[in-house]
Amino acid sequence: MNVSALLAFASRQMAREDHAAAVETLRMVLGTDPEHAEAHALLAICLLRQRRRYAAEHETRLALRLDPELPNAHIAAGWVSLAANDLARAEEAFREALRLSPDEVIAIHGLAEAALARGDRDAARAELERVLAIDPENVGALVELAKLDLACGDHDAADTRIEEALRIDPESPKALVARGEAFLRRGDVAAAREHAIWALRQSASSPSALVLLSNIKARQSFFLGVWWRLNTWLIALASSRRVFALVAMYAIYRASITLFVQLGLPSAAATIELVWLLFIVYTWVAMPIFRRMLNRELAGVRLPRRF
Amino acid sequence: MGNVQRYRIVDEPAPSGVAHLAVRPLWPLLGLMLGGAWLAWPWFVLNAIALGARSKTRLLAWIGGTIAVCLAVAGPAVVLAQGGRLPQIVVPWVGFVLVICKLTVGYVATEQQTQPAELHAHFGGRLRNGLPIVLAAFFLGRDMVARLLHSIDGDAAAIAWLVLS
Repeated sequence: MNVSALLAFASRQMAREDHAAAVETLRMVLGTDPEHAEAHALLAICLLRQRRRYAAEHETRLALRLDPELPNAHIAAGWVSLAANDLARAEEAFREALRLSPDEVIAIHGLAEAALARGDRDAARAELERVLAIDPENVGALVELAKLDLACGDHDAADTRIEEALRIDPESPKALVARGEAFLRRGDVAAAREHAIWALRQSASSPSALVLLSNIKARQSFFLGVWWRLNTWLIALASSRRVFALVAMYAIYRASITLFVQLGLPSAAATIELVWLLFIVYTWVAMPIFRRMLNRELAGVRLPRRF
Repeated sequence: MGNVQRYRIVDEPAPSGVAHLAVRPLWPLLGLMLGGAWLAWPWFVLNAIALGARSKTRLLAWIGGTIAVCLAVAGPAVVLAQGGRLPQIVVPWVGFVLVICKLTVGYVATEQQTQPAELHAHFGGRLRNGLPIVLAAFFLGRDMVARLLHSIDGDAAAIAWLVLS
């Protein structure tokens, strides 16, 4: 088995956001050589993209233990810390990776992400420009810069960067999704949808393409749009905050019922009961309808079997 | 490639004798809401074993903690209420504290088991439909537990009902 060829293949799968396939490739490498630090580090990054943080932390620890001087192990540690919102530790890990390998663009990309997480768009932009200075054809950096431009309302600059990204790699799911997002911001739902589908044809498990398609569906229906926004808000929260938010919603409902009954306002309590019941029915009904709409959309896309 | 060992990622479900009993954690959570803690706590534990979840000890700690808190709240409340020393206005708030306590642990357990359940399904494991158990608990179970507790001495039955319902 040619391990370096498999690692290069896994890297290409990761670049195409096909993390499920990359995990399987890296599993093959580790099945042959369980002490391969590079494979552990890449596996950690893939697992993190699949939101498997515990496993990603484990693989990062293994990679660092096997080779403390491996830049990718520190990069994985940086992404893991970033996912845990430990920005200081993430930046430290990315800087260590850059000390070991100064032109490691993924580490600079990580620093840009950390700056974004801090809310420092200028620093993020500077780091992404640094990536482009090293690698002018880095599609990821171009797409991230385009997103920053979009967030600042500079549509023309965003378009130019996306065009450039698509010139470099016409089938890049990231660039296609960014273009779709730009269309959606302008209200061109049909073009946005076309790009989401196009991106999914390139990489069936691209999370950003699926999110774009879901956003499009949410935009097409107010009823489902509200549910989708509530759902994405809850999913984006850390686990403990999500539990807190859900319990708080129920606590407010129960407390207000109890309070209104004690204040001698049974009609107000009954109204709240009714609103709560409608909310429950809405969240139960909206989910399968939304999923069915999305599945109908995906049925038209020729997806690989593993999807 | 026949001699290549399959590398096992640490969060993948470990084989267990009760893997065929695994359900989505939504069902034990609904069991808590429609049946009660008497159903949900054992079901969450069984499901954690079936899914091969790594957080079994933490789950047991959460459940043990919530039972202790419920006992600490319900015990004095029932004793005071029997003696007529618990103001009527406080009674619904005691129930409120108990429900919030149990619901929090229900959500925590659900969060802990969501990813193991997804991984279980991803690796070809079957997830059963828990609806029949939830419905049976709602229509029959609550009554059965209430009747069972009725045979116990007054105060203890009331405390047990508040902790287990």
